[in-house]
Amino acid sequence: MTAAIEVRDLRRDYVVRGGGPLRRSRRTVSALRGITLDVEEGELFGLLGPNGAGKTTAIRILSTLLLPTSGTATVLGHDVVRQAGQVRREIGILFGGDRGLYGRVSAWQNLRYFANLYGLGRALSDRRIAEALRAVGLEERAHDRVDTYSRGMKQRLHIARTLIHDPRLVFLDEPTIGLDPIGARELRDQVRRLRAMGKTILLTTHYMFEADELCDRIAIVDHGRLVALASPAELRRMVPDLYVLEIELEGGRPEAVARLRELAGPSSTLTATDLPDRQLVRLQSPRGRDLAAALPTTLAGARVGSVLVREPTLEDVYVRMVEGLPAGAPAVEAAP
Amino acid sequence: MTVARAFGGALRMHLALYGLRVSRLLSSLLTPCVMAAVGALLLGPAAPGDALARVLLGGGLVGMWSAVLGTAAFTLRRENDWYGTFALLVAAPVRTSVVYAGYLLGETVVALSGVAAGIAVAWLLLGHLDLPLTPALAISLLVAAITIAALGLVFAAPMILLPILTRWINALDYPVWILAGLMFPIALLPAWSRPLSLALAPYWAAESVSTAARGAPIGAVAPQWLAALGLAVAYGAIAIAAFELVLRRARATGSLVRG
Repeated sequence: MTAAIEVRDLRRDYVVRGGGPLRRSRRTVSALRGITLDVEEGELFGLLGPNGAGKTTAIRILSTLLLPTSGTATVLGHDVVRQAGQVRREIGILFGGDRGLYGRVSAWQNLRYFANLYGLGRALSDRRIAEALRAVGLEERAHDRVDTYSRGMKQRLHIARTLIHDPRLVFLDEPTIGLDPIGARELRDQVRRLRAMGKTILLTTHYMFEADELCDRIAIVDHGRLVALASPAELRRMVPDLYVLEIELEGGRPEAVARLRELAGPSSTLTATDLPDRQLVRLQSPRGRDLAAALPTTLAGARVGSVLVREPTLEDVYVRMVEGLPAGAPAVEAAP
Repeated sequence: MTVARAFGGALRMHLALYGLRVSRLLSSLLTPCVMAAVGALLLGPAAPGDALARVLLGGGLVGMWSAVLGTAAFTLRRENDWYGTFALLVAAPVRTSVVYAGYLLGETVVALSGVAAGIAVAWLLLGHLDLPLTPALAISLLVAAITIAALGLVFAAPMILLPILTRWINALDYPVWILAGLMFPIALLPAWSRPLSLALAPYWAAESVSTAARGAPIGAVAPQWLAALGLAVAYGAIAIAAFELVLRRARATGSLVRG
């Protein structure tokens, strides 16, 4: 396989200006701090990280919308700075949310316009538009105004728009953001179809199960640095010393959560999620610490719905990687 | 071919988004019609053709310039803030200046329909019109549309980098139509402003409209068309370079995509 994307020591700094008209302040913020990675042709590659980690900055540089401060990046063999025109011809971009479409006109008119921008002739664009709308299940609404579409339909139209010029490489920046579960599932199916069509895909997402389900390999970024790069299975194996304890507490019991936090100590990570009538407490702990044995005493007086001991998921790995490593720690990469 | 398709696509999209909307069409048609009606009623049926032509055609060209300048200024807001499509336009292989050119010429198409509507209103009110509706006049109006769109394109580039300039479009609006003699002859202006007028492509287009409105043959108008179109081509080259410069600068500062 050859690399569809080659990123070498990519760095992007922003100058942030502040202060009033008399006293101006100026500081530099680093969104990317020297990332190096390769994406193979035909691969579905995930970029994971918390807000502000640098995922969107990376996609903007690779899609020629932003210049790097230093380092190099090539897309399908073309340098994103010096050969932006060649890169643009071969990529498709989908940004999350329902923006990026002309709501006052129909899906067909939207697709026709983008086909025109990519220089497609009328006959070819007619065929591609019909195919793309059929592929995303919108052919019956093709001539309706886009602002009458649901969010899920708009996202599917985004996919059709991204494919209209048959790009070899597709950037999907949080494509399921804001979608209901059914819409998100439909969109994930569309992403799988893109993969089956042989497209190289770079996907950013906040949803771990989505990355786990879809991606061949995942890069976890945090504070502009690469924290880990491996397949989902390899990432899970990177924390063999970890197990997860999930406890459902019925009713709001902050004192019980506080006691659990005390029990967890500094070597374990605790996250508490409020659900409508209960609280889900998740403890990631090193193997060898039998926290379950201490639960009857720790949770005395609390109404416990359920207790589950399980193997770590990708989300657990992510939390461990992002919260458990000091900023600036070297990237963890799976052995070849 | 790619450029032609992108240009045509942008023109059609602009018309679909705005030009063909009833509310927008009404404002584009109503203002020239009201101006034409007031002019026709004030000047009356005995008015010399030249005076009425100034009101009907000059007023139409002033409206065209204002509309084009407005489109040059607000396209970024429309594409970036309303639709979120600006990044997608920039990321397309065609130059962004070509897309803007399509939008601006689309705006002149709407404005030309306003000129035609104004002429029709004046003709209805006066019962006759001392205005030779010749091919020379039609071509002159087309040349005017092209030159005004080209000048708008030059103004559009800096507004991408400095959106604050859009607050100053009124300050940019009047000097151009005054210096270009769209509404009244530049002979009324001080001598020092003459070189500025001669460097404006719409001045030569407005002169051709005036000449054609007096019934001059194509041969007499053609030199003015050539001067206008020559300057418009120069404006196009300047605008392409300015767009490239501005977009590169915006990619460097990270101001290209908001949000």
